[in-house]
Amino acid sequence: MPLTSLTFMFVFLPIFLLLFYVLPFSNWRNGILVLGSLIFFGWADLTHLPLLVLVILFNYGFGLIIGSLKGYKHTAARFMMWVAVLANLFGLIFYKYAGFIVQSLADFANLTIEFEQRGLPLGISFFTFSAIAYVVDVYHGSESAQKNPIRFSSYLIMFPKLLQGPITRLGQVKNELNNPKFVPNEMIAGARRFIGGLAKKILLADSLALITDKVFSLDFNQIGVDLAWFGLISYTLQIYLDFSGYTDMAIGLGKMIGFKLPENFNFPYISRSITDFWRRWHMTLTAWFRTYLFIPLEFARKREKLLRQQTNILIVFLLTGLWHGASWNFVIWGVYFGLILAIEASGFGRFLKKLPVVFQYTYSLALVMLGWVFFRIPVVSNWKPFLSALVGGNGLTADVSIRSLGMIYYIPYPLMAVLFCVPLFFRIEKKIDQVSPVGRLVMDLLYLALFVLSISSILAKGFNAFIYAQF
Amino acid sequence: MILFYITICSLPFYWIIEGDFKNKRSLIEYRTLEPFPTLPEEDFKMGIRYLFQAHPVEGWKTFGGEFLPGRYQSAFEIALSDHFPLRSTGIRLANDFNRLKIKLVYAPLNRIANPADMRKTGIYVSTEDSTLFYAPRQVAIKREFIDNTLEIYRAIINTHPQINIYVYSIELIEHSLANPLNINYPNGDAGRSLAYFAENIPEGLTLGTFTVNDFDEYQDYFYRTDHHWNIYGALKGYKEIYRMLAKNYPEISPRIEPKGFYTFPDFEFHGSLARFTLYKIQPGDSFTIPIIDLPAHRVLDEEGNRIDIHKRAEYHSGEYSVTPFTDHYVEYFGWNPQFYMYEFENNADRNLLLIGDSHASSIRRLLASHYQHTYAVDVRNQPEGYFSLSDFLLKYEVDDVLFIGGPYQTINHDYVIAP
Repeated sequence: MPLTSLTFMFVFLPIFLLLFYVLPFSNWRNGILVLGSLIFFGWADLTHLPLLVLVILFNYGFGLIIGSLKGYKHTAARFMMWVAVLANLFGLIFYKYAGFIVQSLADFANLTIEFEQRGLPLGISFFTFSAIAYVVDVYHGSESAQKNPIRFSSYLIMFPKLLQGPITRLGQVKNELNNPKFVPNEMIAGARRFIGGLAKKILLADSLALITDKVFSLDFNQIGVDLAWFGLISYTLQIYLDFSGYTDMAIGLGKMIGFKLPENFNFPYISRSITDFWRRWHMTLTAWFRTYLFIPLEFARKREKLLRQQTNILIVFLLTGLWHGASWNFVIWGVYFGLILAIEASGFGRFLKKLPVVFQYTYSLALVMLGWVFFRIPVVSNWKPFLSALVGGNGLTADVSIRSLGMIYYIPYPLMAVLFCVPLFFRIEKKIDQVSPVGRLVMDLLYLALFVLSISSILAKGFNAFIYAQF
Repeated sequence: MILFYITICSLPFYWIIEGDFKNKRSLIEYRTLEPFPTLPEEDFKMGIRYLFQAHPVEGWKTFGGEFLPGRYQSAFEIALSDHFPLRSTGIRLANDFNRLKIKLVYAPLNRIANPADMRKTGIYVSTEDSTLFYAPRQVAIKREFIDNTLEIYRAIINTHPQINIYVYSIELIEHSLANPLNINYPNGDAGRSLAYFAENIPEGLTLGTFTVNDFDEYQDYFYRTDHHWNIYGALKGYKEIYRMLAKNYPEISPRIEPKGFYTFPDFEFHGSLARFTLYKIQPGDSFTIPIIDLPAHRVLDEEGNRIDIHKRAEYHSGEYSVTPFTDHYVEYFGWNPQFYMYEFENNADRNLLLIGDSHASSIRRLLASHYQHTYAVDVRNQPEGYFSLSDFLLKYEVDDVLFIGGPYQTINHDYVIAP
């Protein structure tokens, strides 16, 4: 169920928390977490619940096998690791990419093939990557295989991170899994983080969605510079606030039950280069690709001298793009960033650092925003008219403008949203918290007000699905 | 933050204690709230039976019948929202917050009116917070739609030459030249649709129009919080329609004159525009009714049974809701069923077919008093929006047919009237 649904916040979560903390033995908490996570998943996507159970059992079993083999039968362990990785990838490809692959092949061969794409299981990209990370870590010995199936399930499918990450490695939550406990301060911090994420999503991202949904549904040949930029700026802010809002909620929920989930964002729009951007944007995905693809590629191709790193970056980002969705715009979006990163890795990055800071910020933000055009507009042939509108191809204001669409009242949203993309509030909150207990109380009241306002907004107009839920 | 946990943990208990959620209404949205869905026990039992019979796939599909496509979950979420404690307060809080933002953004623009909410209602509020009204329609009604309506009238006249056909078109503010926001909507209607319609009416059709010259006049004849005309507008309309009918009906009984007016003292009317936007402008409208004497009459359904189509009697005996956003217009003047008829004890020997929208509600009784039978039809409420005049005339004897209402009732039918 979506974290922003009333069912989650006012039925599932309270019942879960009461059961989680009422239990006399802390080891039982993992059991409640698994049960809760299965209900959480089943409520949203009952059709694929058996698949999720299968994924748990499969990876648990293979983890044990790999763990038991690696000491004395290294080749067998490697073989089993590959079987597990490929099986996990097969699931992902079958559900997510089969239609795309078949369609692309058909287009290439000029054939008409009717293929019915299966419904995408919720969170498949996220839990598959967690599962692959687990079996590979067990194979490498950086983690020992989880013998306790409940504990393993708890790691793989814990509901805060199940649908949209952060993509978590076993090592990052192992201690908490071994001893789930009640930490009062973390409960408070968790509630704050959860509310902050909720407000980001409901009050800002969903409001920005009104702008972007409108602008990106228009005929780009008829929009002027004003509307094109209004739409693009709004989308740039929306996607960050939507995804980081979810991550805040997930991390907050983790804290509520004593888990410290990894951070996923670090104010990516104040990056000084694209390399820096990818260190700050969807950090757990970038880390996953670095650990399980880029570094192995570097090792595997260590004898190649010519453009090795650059081509490896390209491969990684081609797959990063593909991870986001089975369509060409995501592939091109990934390649686009791969190329920029490869250029930065070839010396341009060092040159960039010597330029004025303002230029670095502008350079990075402009390229990121250009990337969002590819990301947001799925039909490649529509990129040209939109890019043309951005540079004034249809004039400063065309027939269809902010004013003619009656969108003037949306202007405060991007303005407000910008404030949440820089560490301003984060620092203010930290300072107020440090001042005195009164400061903390003021912050708590502010968060409660945000909570009331967010719930009021949900009651008034509902909520949108998270953008990354489709991946 | 403890308050956060107390709040979220107490709500499940609230819903359990509250218990009965059936037939609750939301006044602010004017609808019955959705009850919590019941668990599909039969599906569960059948599903388990299949499982025991070694048909796991069938069992799973039956067991999860309502859950697999997410129907149960959606219904549960809607019910949870509908029965959320202090729900209407929350909704109004969200709207007030939005309104604050709108005021901030529009302040430098110095416009005559600002949007009343951030949804796509198209409703604006004058800057002094006195009147809610629709902004001009972005694009005037298309000529082909009006031509189509004209064609329907032409066919009706040709098919039923013995019947007098009248149209009384009320030009609503979103189509009117008097809309103060016309300047911001270059493609808006600004009276063009009605003008085109009037220029092209077929021979044999008598047209009357209710238009206003400026925004001040609009405020005299329409509610400031509701999209309908007020009693003064309605009576002006009645007067003009009476004059129009009298031309072909010389023996028509004298026009009804109100003996006076009565304003309900204990509530302010916050009508549809206020309700859609949850904008309670202060003061709201006065809800005034005319004091009139009419000959004895009855309201009957198709089978000839007496029916109630309004709560007028309750209002007169002081039984009415004073809750904000109550739709007093509909409650008092009546709602629009598919069909009903007035039977008056008078000396008239003519019958009227009145095809109208809710604007007609406030004068239907007055018009009906001049006829023996008046058949009231709202074409929008007919099965599949289809109404055959010929079929109707086979069943009922009619001398005059009057179409009355806003542009979508009179000059641009988006439903089908077959001659």
